Amino acid sequence: MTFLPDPSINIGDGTISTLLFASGLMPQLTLLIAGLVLVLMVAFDARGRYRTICKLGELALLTSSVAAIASLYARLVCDTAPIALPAGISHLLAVTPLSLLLNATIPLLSLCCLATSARWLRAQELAKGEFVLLVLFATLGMQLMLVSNHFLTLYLGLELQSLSFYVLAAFQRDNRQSAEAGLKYFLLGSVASGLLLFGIALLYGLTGGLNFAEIAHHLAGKTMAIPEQAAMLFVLAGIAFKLAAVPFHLWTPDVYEGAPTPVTMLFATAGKLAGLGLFILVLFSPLYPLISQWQPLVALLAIASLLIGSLGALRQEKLKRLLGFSAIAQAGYMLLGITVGVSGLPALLLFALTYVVASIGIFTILLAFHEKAAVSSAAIAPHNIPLSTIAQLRGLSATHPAWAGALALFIVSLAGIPPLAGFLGKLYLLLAVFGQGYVLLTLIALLATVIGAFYYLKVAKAAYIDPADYGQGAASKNKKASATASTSPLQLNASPASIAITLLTLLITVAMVGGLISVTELLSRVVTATFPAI
Amino acid sequence: MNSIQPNTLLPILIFAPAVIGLLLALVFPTIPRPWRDGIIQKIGLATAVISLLVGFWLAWQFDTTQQGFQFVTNLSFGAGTLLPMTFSFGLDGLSLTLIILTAFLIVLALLSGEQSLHQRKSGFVISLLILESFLLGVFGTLDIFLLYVFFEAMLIPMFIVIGIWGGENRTYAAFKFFLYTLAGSVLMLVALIYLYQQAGTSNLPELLSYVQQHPIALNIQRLLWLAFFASFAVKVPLWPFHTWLPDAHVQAPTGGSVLLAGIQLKMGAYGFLRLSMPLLPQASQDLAWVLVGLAIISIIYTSLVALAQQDMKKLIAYSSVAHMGVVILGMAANNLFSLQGAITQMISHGLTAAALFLCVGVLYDRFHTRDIASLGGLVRKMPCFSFFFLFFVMASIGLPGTSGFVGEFLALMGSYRASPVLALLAGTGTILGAWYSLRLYRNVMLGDANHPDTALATDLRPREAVMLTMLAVAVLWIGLQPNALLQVLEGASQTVLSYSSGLTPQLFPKVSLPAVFP
Repeated sequence: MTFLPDPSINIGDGTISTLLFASGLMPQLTLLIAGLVLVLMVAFDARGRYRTICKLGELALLTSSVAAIASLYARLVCDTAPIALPAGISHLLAVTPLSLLLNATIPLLSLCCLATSARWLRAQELAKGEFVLLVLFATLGMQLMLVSNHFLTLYLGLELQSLSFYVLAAFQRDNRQSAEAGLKYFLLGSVASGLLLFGIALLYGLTGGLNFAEIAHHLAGKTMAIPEQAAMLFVLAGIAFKLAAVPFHLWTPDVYEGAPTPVTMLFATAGKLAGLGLFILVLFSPLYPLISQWQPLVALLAIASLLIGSLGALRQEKLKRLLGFSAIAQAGYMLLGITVGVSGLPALLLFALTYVVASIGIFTILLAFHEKAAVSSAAIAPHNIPLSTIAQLRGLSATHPAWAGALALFIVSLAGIPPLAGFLGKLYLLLAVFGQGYVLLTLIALLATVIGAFYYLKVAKAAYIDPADYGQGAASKNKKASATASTSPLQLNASPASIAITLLTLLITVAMVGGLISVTELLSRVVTATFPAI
Repeated sequence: MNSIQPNTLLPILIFAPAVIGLLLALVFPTIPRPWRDGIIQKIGLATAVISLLVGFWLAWQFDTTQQGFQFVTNLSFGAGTLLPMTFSFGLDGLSLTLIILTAFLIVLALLSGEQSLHQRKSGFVISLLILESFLLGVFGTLDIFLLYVFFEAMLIPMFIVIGIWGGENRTYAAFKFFLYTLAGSVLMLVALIYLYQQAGTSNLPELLSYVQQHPIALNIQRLLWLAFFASFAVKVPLWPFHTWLPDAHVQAPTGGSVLLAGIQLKMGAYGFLRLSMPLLPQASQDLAWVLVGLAIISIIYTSLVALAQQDMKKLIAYSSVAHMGVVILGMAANNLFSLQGAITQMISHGLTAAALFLCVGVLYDRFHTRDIASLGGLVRKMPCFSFFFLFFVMASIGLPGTSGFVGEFLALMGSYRASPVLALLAGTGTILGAWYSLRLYRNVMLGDANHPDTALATDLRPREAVMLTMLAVAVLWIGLQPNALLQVLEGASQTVLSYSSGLTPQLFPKVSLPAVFP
């Protein structure tokens, strides 16, 4: 292993900045620098100017995403050959079009999370600069993980993301549920990281290297024996935990429910996409020679996730818990796409994007509302109850018809019912799965879709059909409102950014099936450019 | 008029209602509250009427001598996708008549909505406009995936219509309706994906020529046919899959019932005619006995069930199942008479069932009950209404001179050609149909006045009279001038038959007698 740059590489006439820009490490560097600057700002900011810090964080995320998009554009559209990194770096990091695509999307998701949560955090008295910092570092971790070409960088990125996530889950310190979520996530997550590390160690022992290409090269020639399989199994368990696939899903409903809603949003969108990217990266790069070994396992994980996620969600009354189970089921669909192999990746990415868009929409709406508690006594300051149960949504369409309608559309899109974007993603995915001859998997996925339609519709029904009735359900403690109103107890507190994000996601959700927005070609080009050999 | 091509008009006809509906949904908060419902209702009604006129214009441009699809348009946007889901549209006689029926019934449903809905009227109008687009899309598209999209998408506005404006038990009915239909449809999606993988195209005409050149193996055809069957049998509905229908009908508002009975039930039959029979000809003939058996059971069993109903809407819902049984029987018999009869019966049932649901809506408006036993002796207080009610009851029974006669007669004649036993069994259904329909009429209109409000009941209002008159004219027109309709349909029927030429339907299950009676 040498850390000296290879003299044969011609950097050309480019300066160091073009090198970084064209090599696609700009997104990570932006976040790193911004993160370090903001650490200092938060540390010396006695008055807690959340607004400024939040805006700066958003700016950094946006810059990071734009850098990734520019790099991807240069790579795919202008066909600029990537400037080779010095050997010492390329040993550890590899910028592929797929990683650029994900690294462009993930900061945008974090940005949505920051932009939509400011008012919610203030209402819950959580608007502290550390929140922004943790989101930034989590994003940096995910980005680093996705450009890794070496198990050490991968683990480094993964741990940076995970540690930020543990703290974020417990961010509402005075809330028991949030603390419990953080602890649970931390304990189980550490075990998963340990399993992954153990698998990595076994791989190192077997192949003598940690670089992905080296491992793949060594594994390709070998006959598969128990040590290889054990190593694969441990790695698979570690990454399946991050994607919340059954049987490594147990943390998901509790953490989704307990964590503050903006954090849940981050887990469900950016975290999910990063988990998927991790899965693709590990399985299609170092472990690709073992494809015949992991394919049936991933298929099993997929089936279990689909069925347990769907069935578990059926009886949930808590909104975030339901979304947690739904995230497990959606992980099942994603694993189906991985089972198919490289030919299924474009469809899988499309599915993941439609899922993420719908989730962003749903969480934005959840963050835009909160229930105003009655001022029961003068001693206790009025506290805002966040939107957390399905029953709270009742009657929303009477007071806020547009928001209720948008929520219903996102939910229906998530359920995969035409003519919305979610259906398109699911259709492509099933075409890919069926195309490889996995009829049984297709049927199970469709069964899960039918079951899923039930619980998704339950949410849409509460928001759109049910009248608000008081005296029962979660609103019963709200005595003052029960006497007066037939209106929803929820109050709108949406920032312009939330409204813009809702409209944008709504537009994507509605316009995609019409063929007005077509990303499929881009996705298939990204995949072919990333895996030219396979 | 040369500047307007009918083939560019077809996609506009399909998408315009939804676009207008969405625009209305966007602008409606800006309209001052007192005018809101009125304005939106007028725009909605105008859209529906214009759609109907466009439908008529297409019919006028339609060349009945030509077989195959006319007004074919391929819109291409979103090129270079992984999946060439083409936006391809076109009509043959079958889809043309169904499109006109849809546009017509939407106008009626919008009119019916005026009084029985007290809250969120604008929402109802918007839902119906979006629903209209999806319904028209199912009949107008020539792409199997797009057809699936419309087929499923239609569930959402219907779910909303039943769920918001329905009766007391509306949530249960809406969920049951949605999940039943979805569960059936996803199996159809598997079959469509298979066909697409085989042929490499989702365009229906291309798919048909592919299937003719490369016939699919019979055992796979059977599986695909069963997958289609799962979807369409729920939609039609055939006997064991029909239980969602009475619930949905009873809970739906009048306008929703009109569209459910008038159009949605036709989609299942349309699916058999458009997808199952042409794409899977061998399996369709080979498994015809499944359809025949379930159709016969549907006809006789649900007629008997209808006899026992106390709720008017339930009675009509069950009678719908029986009437659709005749349609399916005609399709399974697979000759020109039976097919023409089946399609005519579809149209006729669309009109009469819609009319009967409107009549029940009128009664519910006056008496706030649908219970047959609590009504009676209305003929003296509501003479005009009783005239129309009798007329549509008779049309539903199949009295000569009404559309019901043409459809039922042709379907039974075709079935007789295929097998006299079938015609006999299906004929029993007609007799039972006369029994329960006349019983309904007698108990509601004749006899003693049971309901305390009878003395105060007002006869038809002008709006209701106009709606029922329009339906009566259509029923009479088909009944007295069936050739006009049959001519339009003939090309489509011949095409469907041409795919199965040389095959005879297997009307009875292949059970060798010695195996049963050793």
